[in-house]
Amino acid sequence: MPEIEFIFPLRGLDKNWGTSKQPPLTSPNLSNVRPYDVQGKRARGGQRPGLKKILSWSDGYPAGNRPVIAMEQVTVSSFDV
Amino acid sequence: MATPLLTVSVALESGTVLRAGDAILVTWEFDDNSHWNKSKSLDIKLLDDADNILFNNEPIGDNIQSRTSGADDDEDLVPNVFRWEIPLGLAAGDYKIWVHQNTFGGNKTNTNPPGRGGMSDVFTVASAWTLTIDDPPDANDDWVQGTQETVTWTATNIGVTEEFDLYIRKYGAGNDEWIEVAPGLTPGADASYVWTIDSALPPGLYEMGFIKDDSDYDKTNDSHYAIMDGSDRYFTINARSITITAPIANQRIPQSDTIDITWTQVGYDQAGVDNNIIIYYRDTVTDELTEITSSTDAADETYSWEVPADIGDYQIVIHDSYFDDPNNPVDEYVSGIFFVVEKSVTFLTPSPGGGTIIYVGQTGSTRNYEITWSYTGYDGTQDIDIYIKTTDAAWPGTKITDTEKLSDGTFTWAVDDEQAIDAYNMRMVVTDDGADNWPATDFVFVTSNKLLDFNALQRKTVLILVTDNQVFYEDVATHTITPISGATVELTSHVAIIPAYQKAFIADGTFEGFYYVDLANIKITGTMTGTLTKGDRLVGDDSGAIVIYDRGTANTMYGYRLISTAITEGVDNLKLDDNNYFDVTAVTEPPHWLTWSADSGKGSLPDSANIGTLYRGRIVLAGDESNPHMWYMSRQGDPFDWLYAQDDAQSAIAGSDGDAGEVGDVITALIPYHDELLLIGCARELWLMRGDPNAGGTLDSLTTGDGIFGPRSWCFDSNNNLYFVGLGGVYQLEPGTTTPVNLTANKIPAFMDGISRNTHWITMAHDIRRHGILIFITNVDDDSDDYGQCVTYWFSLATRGFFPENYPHDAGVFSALYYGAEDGAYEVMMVGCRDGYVRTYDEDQKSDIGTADNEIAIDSVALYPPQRLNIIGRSGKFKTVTITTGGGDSDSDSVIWEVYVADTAQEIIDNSVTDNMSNAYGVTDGVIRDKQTVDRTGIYGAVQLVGSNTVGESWAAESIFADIVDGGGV
Repeated sequence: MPEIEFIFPLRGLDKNWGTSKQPPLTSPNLSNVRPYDVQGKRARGGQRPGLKKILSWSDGYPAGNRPVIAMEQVTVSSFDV
Repeated sequence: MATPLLTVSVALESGTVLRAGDAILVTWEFDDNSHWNKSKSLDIKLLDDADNILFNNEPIGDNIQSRTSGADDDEDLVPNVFRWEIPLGLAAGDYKIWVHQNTFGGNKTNTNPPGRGGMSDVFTVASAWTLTIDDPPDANDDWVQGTQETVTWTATNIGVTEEFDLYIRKYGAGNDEWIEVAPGLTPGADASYVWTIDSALPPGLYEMGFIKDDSDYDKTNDSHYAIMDGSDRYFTINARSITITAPIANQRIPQSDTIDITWTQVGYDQAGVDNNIIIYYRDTVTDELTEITSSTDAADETYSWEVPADIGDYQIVIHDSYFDDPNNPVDEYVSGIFFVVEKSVTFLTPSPGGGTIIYVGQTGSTRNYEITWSYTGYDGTQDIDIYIKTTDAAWPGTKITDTEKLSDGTFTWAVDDEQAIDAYNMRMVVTDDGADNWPATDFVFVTSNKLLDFNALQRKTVLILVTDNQVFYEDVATHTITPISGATVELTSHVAIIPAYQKAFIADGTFEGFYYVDLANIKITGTMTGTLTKGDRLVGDDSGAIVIYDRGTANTMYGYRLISTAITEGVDNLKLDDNNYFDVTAVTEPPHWLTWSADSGKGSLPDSANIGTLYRGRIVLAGDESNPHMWYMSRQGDPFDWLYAQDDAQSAIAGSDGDAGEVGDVITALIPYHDELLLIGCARELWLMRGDPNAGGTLDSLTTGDGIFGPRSWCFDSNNNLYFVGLGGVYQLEPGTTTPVNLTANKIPAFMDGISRNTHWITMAHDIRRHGILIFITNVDDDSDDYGQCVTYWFSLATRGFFPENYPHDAGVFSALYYGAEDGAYEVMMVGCRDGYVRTYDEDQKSDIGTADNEIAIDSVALYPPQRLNIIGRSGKFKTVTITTGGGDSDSDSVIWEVYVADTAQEIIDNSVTDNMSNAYGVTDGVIRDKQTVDRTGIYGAVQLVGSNTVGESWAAESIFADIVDGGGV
């Protein structure tokens, strides 16, 4: 076997089987990676996308360093919001 | 023969021919008074010309005084006269009259003429006259009052000058009830008579007869009449009649219009007969008759009439002028009730009630607005024009037509691009309706710039979020999270936000902790007059603004502004009509923070709730601390009606009231599915409600032993697969199935180790664009330093694999939402984080952003699974590794590669995961094909890529190849 290919574990984390019986395309050790890379958005593996803030806040908010415990979206048809 | 004592003469009473029924006059003279006993009376007998006494020797005159009664004996005998009417049955022939003293021979039956008397000369009785009424009439004839009918007869032996009178009588009438209808007829000369049947004759069955016009014929004696023969004895006289054919019942006739009153008649069309009728109309309310014409010929069968100008219900009444007495009519003919109505034109479009939007600024056919109308009271031939004016201007306004026809019913108005945006009235003028040009109707409508309004009124998605005991909304224009005035809640656990009806209904889990955010309606203070109900379209009488009424009280209303036109505060009345409107004092823009409670008389919400959803138009609540296994549903379409178990399918309902029933476990999640299914997740069970619990819906147990972790521990993918987390891990429930499949059981058996509802929230969301499910397992134990720490799994829908992720502590996820914003830059997967910020994933973002906008490196690693390096019984030598990194929108940054070679896979895992003891490693940077020498021998080999854990760096791996050679026996 002059050459073998190591393929990115596209089928994700798998800790179910014996270490020598690891299912193809799975891995026992993954963190912060996704099957689709952020550069080419191809199924070849890569680091996950980063988290960034979105939406601005009125002055003084968020004030309490308290979690956003609920979010929901409401569809309206209006001139005013 | 003895000498006659009397000289007897016979003479015809009249005429020259003697017939049965005629009378003769018998006279006698005494030849010798001395031989005559003056006291003796005479008998008179009829003899044939052979001197045979007829009638069985009975005299035709008996005990006839020979002299004047009362004369004394000295008085001379005086001749007397005897009148004898020849019986109708006497046969024609020659006869003689014998007059003799009836005591002669003491035998009144003396048969020995002349005896003591005298004999007349022979006189001749001719054949008797006959007169028979023929057909017509006969028994089948139905004659009509006022008409003329011909009476025919057959006469024999009647002289041409002999007169007879024609009589009729009702069937069953007495002898003295004959009615003369034609005197002095000469049936011997004429064969028929045209009889005009008197209109006064009562209808009925009649018989007809002739009687000779002679004083000797007794008109009260049936036997003196020559009547119709038995078979044609009777005929019928019917009343004449009129049937009004127009106007008809329920006909609507415009006021003051001229119409034809028409009718059909029977018996009113005979020459020489009074055919005149009087026509009235009757007001059916007052019953007053008003004369239309005092006399018109009924035979015309039509009369032109201008109906009253007064609107009302009327009838046409026709009287026979012969009998006319309006107060006591004999013959009255009445039409059905018809209606005199007002002339009108009604616009169909634009809506006459106001509020129609006519757009300007369009091109081509889109600039055309179709004005349509209906009309009443016109025949449609009239010319019309349509005018518009702004509501504050005076008529006549501006004509927009070029003279159309009323009958067109439609006019296409090519709205001028320059037409000012304003509130207008429109009216139609019927230009040739007599001398008047009068408005048909008017109404309010508004033109508006469609393009501008399209942008202004288009659908918007507004983000609502809860943090720090406050409720915030997103100002969509600036994408700024903004506190809602007064919107505070108690944060003790989950908070339910239920979007419905352009509002966000919020249940914070505390006692009576129910609120809602009204995001679409403007709040208007002022005064309500009359009654306004949900959906009423109100138009500002000053501004032309249009508001759809939603809710309100006497002094506050909430409504949805349909167009951008601003309400004139302090001036406008928002009108439904003149009796129902809201006088505007002030307007407040949304959003509005309001307490959510049931309307008066509509029950009450549960004590508390922190789980909620919308299902079949009902708000569904659960999580009531005092009744944790209970579900509650509002009335369909009305979040403010919680009056349970009413007698209609839309009624509010709770688990305790319906056929579906309660669930026995504590409810942890409510999951609506296409409005046909509602999954009720419990701590250890999963229930499935099918249909509406108030309309035959069912509630069935789906699973027992495992339920749904929490209110947000579920999501759907784009194919309607449901994913949820139970105590056994992550499940998938495919559409149409009822058995969830555990996705982690044979991949990550310990998925739920160390996780409990007391210390963790599990939130799930579907990242639509990245085709994956996010599962956030967040420590919410606020006594722990790990509060807010979050372990995340990315489940790729494409590869069906779980990929664990971890985020900076500040970015621990408590809530998640794929936000469907209209602005594409914000249509992203959003996560609500521990530090109060909302974050999103960004492929261009190679680090995570912390609370202070600091960049935090992402520590990434992927162990490519260990592979056997050679056949069984032999080892392999890992000679080289060739790594090619990926590029695309950007190039891969540096990545560390590590090669592990060992005799067991476990050893590789231990070395890679725990001990980080690689057999070879290196770093590649940029898009590169990097081949490195390893030269390690073993049975298993693996490669692990490790991100640089450097701010601003990310990596992608295109491929990894290894050169392996035989490493010898093992």
